[in-house]
Amino acid sequence: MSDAADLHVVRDVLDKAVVDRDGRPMGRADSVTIVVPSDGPPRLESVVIGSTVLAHRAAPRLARWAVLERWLPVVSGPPVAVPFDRIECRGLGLKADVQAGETAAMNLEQRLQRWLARIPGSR
Amino acid sequence: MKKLPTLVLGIVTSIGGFVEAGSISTAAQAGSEFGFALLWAIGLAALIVAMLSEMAGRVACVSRRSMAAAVRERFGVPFQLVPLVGELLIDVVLLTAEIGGAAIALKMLSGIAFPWWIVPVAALAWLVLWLGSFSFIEDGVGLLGTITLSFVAAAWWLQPDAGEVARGFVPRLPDGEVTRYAFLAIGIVGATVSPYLLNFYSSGTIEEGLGEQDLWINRTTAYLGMMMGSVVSMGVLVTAAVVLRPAHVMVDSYENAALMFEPVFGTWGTALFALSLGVGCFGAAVEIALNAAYALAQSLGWSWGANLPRRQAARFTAAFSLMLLVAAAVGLTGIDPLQLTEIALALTVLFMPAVVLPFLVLMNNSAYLKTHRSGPIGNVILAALTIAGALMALVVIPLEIAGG
Repeated sequence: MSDAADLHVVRDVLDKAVVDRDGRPMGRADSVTIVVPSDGPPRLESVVIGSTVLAHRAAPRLARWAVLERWLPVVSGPPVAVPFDRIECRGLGLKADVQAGETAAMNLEQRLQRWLARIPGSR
Repeated sequence: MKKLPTLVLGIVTSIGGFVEAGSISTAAQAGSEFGFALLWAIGLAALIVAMLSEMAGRVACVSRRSMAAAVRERFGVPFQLVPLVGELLIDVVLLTAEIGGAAIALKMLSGIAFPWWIVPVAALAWLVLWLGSFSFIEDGVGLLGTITLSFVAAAWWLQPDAGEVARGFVPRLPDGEVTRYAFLAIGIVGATVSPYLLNFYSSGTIEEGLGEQDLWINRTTAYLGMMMGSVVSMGVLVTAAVVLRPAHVMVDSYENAALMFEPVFGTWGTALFALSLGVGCFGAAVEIALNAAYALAQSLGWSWGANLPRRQAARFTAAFSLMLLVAAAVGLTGIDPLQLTEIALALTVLFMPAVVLPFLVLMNNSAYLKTHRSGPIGNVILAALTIAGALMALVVIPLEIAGG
């Protein structure tokens, strides 16, 4: 993290676009995890990307629906937590020092890519 | 001056892309029922949409963020859910109405019932989106759309009384049917200040690679394009006022609206009306499907862009495909496109406060606009718009029931 002293979690982290180390969009910071150690101040542990955590923030009651809870991770992949020490805040967005394609954040994208590859003539 | 062609093309495509199902039907109804008396509503709505487009374009030029992305980042997902769900809902209803409008145009040309045209129209729209780059889609739709200038030609040819027309730009209460008059005035605003138009405009600014140095292009395209585009809507209203009103023709179907071209274009009238309606609706359908994919992808942080190979933005591609599929399925039920248009207009007005309010905050945020933030006048106008939007949202449903 470049300038930890000035970090505001809601203003600078939550809901910001996350790109991987090659600049490929991974999603948005749908949630964060914070650890509260008994012997120190709370610490931002990770940025979480995933439809289930997003649903819990956007509409908690809706997100608890059994159908949604069961199928969202199946369709779009389980949540991906990127450790905060691998995140760099860059202007209005975040850069994660990971390879997007190797995380579950791209599950749906990759599945759809395989389907689209069968349709001829696209750009 | 290297970007002069971009500017000219931007203005021409704004004119060609201005009218669609909503603007044609509301302007035709307004003209046939109240003469020129609602011209002011079209002018005012165009001014509002020009202002908001310029602002959305300014945010995009300076921050490289579309409205959907900026609202998610600045307000967080619990707030953004309201305008996003509203926008997607309006997009589905309006997309179905536009596909239906294009299908009715094809019915007028071929005599084959309109539900048969729903799937071919949706499939053609998908093909354009599957194959085309952003400029192919935007310029193609806009240039074809210049056929809608036939509404202006018709109004010109009919030589309406200039003084009467000019009086139409001054708002005043009608002699009777106040609720219907108010409903149509709000309907015209709803047809023009569509959330899809604003997010599509800001996404297009990014797709075309405009930056901070191109703010003048954005300003000119937004104001000149939208204001000149509104002249086409005014052409519809004036033609309807001169032709349909004296004949007491109510515009309760597109076939009735087509009668406005008969005195001007004779036997070609219906065909030309159908072409203008069809091209206007088809262009809007393509843009609405694309916009729903933009809004969803930008909100969720997916790869997006009509200039990307489709497989590099697979979820974005799936999103516009799904939109067209859903709209075609709804359209196949045979639901009247004109009724759907009215529902979409009411929904647009209902969600207007949630769409306009974020502008007030974003336009004052230096993280997004650096030194190009709104001044006091811009803020006062935005605040007034938010309040007016909220008031219209309160009355639109009762008015739709009483005057719709």
